Amino acid sequence: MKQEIYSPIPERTWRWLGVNDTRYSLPTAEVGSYNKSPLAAPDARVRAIEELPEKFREFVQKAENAAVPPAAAFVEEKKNSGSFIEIAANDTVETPIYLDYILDEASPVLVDEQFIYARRGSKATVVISYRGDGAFHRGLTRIYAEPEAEIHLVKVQLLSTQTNHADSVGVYVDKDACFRFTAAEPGAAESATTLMVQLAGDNGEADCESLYFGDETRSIDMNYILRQQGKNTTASMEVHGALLDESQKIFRGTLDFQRGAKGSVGRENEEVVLLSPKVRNRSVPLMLSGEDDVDGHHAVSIGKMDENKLFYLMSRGLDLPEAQRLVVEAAFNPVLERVPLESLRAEINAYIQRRLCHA
Amino acid sequence: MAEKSLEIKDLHASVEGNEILKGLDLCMNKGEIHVILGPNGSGKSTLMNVLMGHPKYEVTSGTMEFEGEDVCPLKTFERARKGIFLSFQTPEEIPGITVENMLRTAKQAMTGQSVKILAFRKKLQKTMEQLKMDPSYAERYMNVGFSGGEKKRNEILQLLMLEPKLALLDETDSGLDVDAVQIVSHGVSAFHNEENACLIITHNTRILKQLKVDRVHVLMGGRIVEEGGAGLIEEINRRGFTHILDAAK
Ligand SMILES: Nc1ncnc2c1ncn2[C@@H]1O[C@H](COP(=O)(O)OP(=O)(O)OP(=O)(O)O)[C@@H](O)[C@H]1O
Ligand SMILES: [Mg+2]
Repeated sequence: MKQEIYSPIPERTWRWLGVNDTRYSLPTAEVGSYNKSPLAAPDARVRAIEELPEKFREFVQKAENAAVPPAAAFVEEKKNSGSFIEIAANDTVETPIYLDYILDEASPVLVDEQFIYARRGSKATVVISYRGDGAFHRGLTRIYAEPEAEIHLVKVQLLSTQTNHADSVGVYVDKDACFRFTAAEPGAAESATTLMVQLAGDNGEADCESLYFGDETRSIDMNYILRQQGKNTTASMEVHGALLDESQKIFRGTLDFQRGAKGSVGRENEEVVLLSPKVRNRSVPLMLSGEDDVDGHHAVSIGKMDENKLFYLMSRGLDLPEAQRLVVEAAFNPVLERVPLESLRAEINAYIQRRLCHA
Repeated sequence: MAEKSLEIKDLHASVEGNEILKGLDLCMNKGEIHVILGPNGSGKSTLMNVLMGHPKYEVTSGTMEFEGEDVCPLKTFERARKGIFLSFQTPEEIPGITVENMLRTAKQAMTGQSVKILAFRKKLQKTMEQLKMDPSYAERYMNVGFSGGEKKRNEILQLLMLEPKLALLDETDSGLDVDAVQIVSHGVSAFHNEENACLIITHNTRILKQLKVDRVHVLMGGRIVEEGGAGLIEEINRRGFTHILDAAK
């Protein structure tokens, strides 16, 4: 039994498309425990989420906006793992901090809550991966970036086609701070992800790139909102996807320029390749503007691998899976290049390869 | 006796229910260069697409054999792996796949062996040099934003890299400037040897300057209406196709 809740997108404009609400189901199943450490080696910067000092609550709250609120409540209540990561002021962390979660028979359920606190002038990359075979994963990651901090969050999701996945990321970006987001989440049976970034301070920057991959009857639901509040903020959202078989996907990307965001620039671009006529592809780019002095652009490009293009590739000796592999790899490479761990990159590639061979 | 490369007998083929090829016969041996001449719309590109197995075209009767093997039951990629190569009249643009990546994957598919990256890249660069292509094109997406002439040169690049046994060239010279035709013509002659065969469609004789043409076929209305030696090219240039048709009646 599942109970379903909906996350509204900022403007109710798209009712006719049936895309106004994000499906984010809250499982009622037993959560159980997740006892493994996601860290390969202890790291002083990473503590259990329970050790989050009370005085930091207000920062968590500011990033809160971000997540689907009921999802946040669910995760806070039911979490069975999670961490509080603090990057000290002016600290540059060269090696990415890597949290690796693996679902299996012993731990089929993961509900993780993460809070990353990037102090003034700090620089770090945090990689969180979800892998393996289980029942479901629900996650909530909140980030507070103080002035001049640079934080790169990389989410990788390679769960089995039996596993259900929903993840929510909420970020508060103060002045002169920069948030980078890279998501490579080709796995799971059903995947619902939300990203909400609030560029609160002047000159804040958000640079987000994601890939999605649908095959068989998989459904993918993505809802990204970049809210620009400070002056001269820069936001960019670049999404690459490939859909095969009878998969379906909806991507809502919102650039929300709020009053006072003078001189801000926002870019949104989605490129999707449709490799089968039976896919259901919906794209809902949305631009909201409460401020005149802004520069916003969005574009969606839908590439169909038509009969003639496939014939051309096959006349060079490629069979259908090989041709598809080339097309998919090409679409995903720019995003994969942002994944800083070589071994993880190879694993994402191998995962997609396996899925393509299956097709 | 010379070994057969391609043998087509009484080939009928249609597209979307319209019969375009109406009993076509053509035979060529290894080591030979043949030319097909014919007016616009006579079915030349159709023949190429049918030989390569485009899914839109249906062979309704007749046979096509490549090196003694019936190719009709083979899929496009299987024909390519057997050694048939088509240089397209209008090459497709493939966004996302670079020339190098495409060629390396194709070479791997053709040979069934993994390709050594460094050696491959070296050969690619040398071949591009030979075709006077800027090496930066190796990193560009297949034909995307290429000029008409650049696309044609890219087809010859693929021909030289993949080294097939039968090269079908569909108006590879059209849209090329004088120098480019020379370069392409040199490319084809560099490719050609005793073990392979070339079937060239052209409306222009300049591409043939560098090449020793063994036989010329005139295709009109979906059939070969006249055949002859290299001299036939000159005759058609002088007197046009209608004359041939009248003579054939
Ligand atoms: N899908 C189609 N449906 C109907 N007729 C078609 C279709 N495709 C091609 N044809 C016709 O088939 C005939 C042969 O076309 P083809 O492209 O083979 O000519 P061609 O000899 O290559 O001409 P050109 O010299 O102009 O390249 C033409 O009359 C064309 O209109
Ligand atoms: Mg033609």
